[in-house]
Amino acid sequence: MTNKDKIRLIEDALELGQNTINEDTLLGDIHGYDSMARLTLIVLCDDEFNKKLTGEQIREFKTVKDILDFMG
Amino acid sequence: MKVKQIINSEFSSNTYIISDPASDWVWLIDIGEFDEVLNCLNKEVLVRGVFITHPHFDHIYGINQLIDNFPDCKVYISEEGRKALFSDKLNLSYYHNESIIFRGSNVQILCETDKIGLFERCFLETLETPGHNQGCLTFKIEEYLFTGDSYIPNVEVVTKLKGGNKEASKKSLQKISDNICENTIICPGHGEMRNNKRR
Repeated sequence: MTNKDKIRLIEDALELGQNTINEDTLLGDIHGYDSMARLTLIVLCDDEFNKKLTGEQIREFKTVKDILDFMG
Repeated sequence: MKVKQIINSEFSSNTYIISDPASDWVWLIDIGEFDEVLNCLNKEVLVRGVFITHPHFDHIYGINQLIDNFPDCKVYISEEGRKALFSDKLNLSYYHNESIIFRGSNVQILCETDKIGLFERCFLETLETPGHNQGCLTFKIEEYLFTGDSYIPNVEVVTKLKGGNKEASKKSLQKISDNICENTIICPGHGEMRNNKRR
């Protein structure tokens, strides 16, 4: 899966419009990026990539790229 | 009838204790911090049942402790919600700190318009309000409307979690709105209770 595909998955999961974020987007700048959004991404990583992301880990992520790198 | 709100530590969800001065039992809406509930009850008071607005971990995490202490307590929930009681992936606790899988079996399924007697001349009515989660219910008791996360005043409904559906949420919000009248007291799943008169 390309980074573009992964970004699309993140946009869908967070109910963002298409092409509203990129690798460099700061997570804190994403509209509605709160504890629920983080939980949504944790579920996404488990469902789509079979990777268990913890709450502590995701709170340390700064940009979209940090999530992409975790997805592998 | 009296309603007491408890604000839980997980995501500041609410548990409500429904009591009646003439009765030696109470009912709960959602169950978070069980010890906090216990602190509010006299020793001789029984918890007869808990009504679950939806099966996310922050609204059910005290459920096993509740059943351990009150083995006859019934759990009222939607059919979709029942499945999530027994699945930590569906109730999302798997992705959080601690897995929660219900250890009891005393579950009663609630559907649209189902009515349960709580106290003498006091009933709970059920509204199905999917959207935040497929298994969301709203409960109406006299002038109180317990909306869970289907409607939190001034907060956009979260539909991005597993089992969420934006279109269903819009319909549910309309249904909830149709059930709000001048004297309604809204008791959401998070945040303050709100008297509709003070809108």
